[in-house]
Amino acid sequence: MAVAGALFLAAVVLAAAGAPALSPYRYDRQDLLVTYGAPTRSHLIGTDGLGRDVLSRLMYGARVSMSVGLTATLLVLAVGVPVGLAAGYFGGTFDLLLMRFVDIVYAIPYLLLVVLLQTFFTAVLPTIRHGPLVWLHALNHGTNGIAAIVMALSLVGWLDVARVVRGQALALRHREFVQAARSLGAVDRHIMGAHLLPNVAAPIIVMATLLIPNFIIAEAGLSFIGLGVQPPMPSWGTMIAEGIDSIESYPRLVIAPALVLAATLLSLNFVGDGLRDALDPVMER
Amino acid sequence: MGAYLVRRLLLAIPTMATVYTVAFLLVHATPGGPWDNAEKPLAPQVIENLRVKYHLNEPLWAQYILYLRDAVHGSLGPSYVNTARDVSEIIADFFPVSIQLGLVAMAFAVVLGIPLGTLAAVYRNTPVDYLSMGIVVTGISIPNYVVATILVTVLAVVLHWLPTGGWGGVLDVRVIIPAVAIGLRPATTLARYLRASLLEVLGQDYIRTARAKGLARRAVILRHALRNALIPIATVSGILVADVVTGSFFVETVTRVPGIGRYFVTATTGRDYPVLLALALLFSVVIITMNIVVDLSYAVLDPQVRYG
Repeated sequence: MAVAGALFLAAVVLAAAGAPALSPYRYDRQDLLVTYGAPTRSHLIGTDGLGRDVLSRLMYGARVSMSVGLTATLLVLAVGVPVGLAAGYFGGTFDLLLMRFVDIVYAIPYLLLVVLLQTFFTAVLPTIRHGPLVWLHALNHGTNGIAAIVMALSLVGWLDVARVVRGQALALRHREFVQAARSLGAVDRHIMGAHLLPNVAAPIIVMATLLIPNFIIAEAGLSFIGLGVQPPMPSWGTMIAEGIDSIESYPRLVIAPALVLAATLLSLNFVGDGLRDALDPVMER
Repeated sequence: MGAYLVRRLLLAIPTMATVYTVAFLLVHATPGGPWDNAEKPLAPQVIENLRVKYHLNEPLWAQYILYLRDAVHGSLGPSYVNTARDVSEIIADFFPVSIQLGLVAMAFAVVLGIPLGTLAAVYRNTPVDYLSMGIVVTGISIPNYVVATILVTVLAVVLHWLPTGGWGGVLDVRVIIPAVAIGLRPATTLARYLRASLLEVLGQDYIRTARAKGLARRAVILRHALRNALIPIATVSGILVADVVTGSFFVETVTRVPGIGRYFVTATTGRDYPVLLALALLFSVVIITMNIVVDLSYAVLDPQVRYG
């Protein structure tokens, strides 16, 4: 299962990375003579209501899903891991404040918080015309709104990572090898980087395989309700939402992105499970 | 138990206050509103009048207090889009539909999840277990609106067994697709937790005793093991309520159910910020209440748990 998942994922990643070169058409190229076209040799999965090639849009959609999933995961790890390590290793007031903050954020339904943040970012980013943050406006514009999604998702997501890493660091900080390093004169930064980090690496990798599908789901959900990437840039979520209107006459327009999204998420889960089994020798079957 | 309840309710106050503050600040920091129409701009005087009507020219702290006072008295302010109506009235109209749908979804989750988890544990490491866990992985990885989309396409459009959407109450056939789509994820969560907890219980001494005194395997599993294994499931159901509540956002849109989730989606696209703020508060209240109810039910179900 993990191998099949990895193969499918490789295909999706290839399609995403190579979309500009590999896709038969541009995502916004309209062929008004064949709207709602059935699959033919020139349009392998047919065309949508505006005469755009569905296969090309799926490939560009993969680009959106993959870039959101990967950048948000990297960003969340980059912030969450050091913060969690420090909180678990040092403890004290910083740790206490972090955990209180986590408690509060968890009281707000996740999706709702993300929707509020996303509404905020999509409205605010285009209004930044000068000042030190003007690059964010350019970045968001250049990526058709992907930057705003990544920001909204990461802003909530890093807390989860910090919480898990903190728990691991807390369990490790009184172990002998940490004590030994300290008695040999290692500074805190060296202990965290060279001794704690390698020991929490395995759970972090497993967690990352769960974070990517979660971010992909969230991006598709936001795009589904019209808060995600800016049209005409396609996202699988947008394509599902657009297809719903004509589901009774042209079900393939909605089933194509739905199946691709479902298969991608399943594959990510299988690969994640495979990694977990490989990285966790103590887990019993 | 009474003292415990009071303590939990008191603890909920700072949590709610933070939720309110965060949601309020986010909503008010977001520029614009539904009347910022670039194609058909409103006259400046009209916008000014609208701002006065919604107290938007007053200082932020004054709006903060004003809204809080109204909210405590049960009024959640007017909707920006549906100007004739108060957000509270809108919630009273749309929320009951979502509650009914949620109850059916939960019932489906229990009916599917409990047998699935029991079978997986009893037939551990056999094809039955693998099949159940396969269903569980599928249910956990695929978001509910994709499930709803696939169900509508297959059951309604291709096979014509069910209508594609709409709402006619809990006894109408149109409830089936949204309820299954929303309930699938909670069902798989239930099954996963039940499998783990049942495996633990089945290894206990009293199960061996029950078997040794000659009780049938079936009776041991149903009457002795399942009863104890179900206790931790009560805690999980608290998390599941959050799933069901937020699950209705997308599924209601796909299956055209006139519930609060669908209204929420309309409100986000229409930039109706007061509705977003009100719903954030409403959903938090639901989740906090459910968590308290779950903790209390724990004490009722398990005589070993006592809250001082």
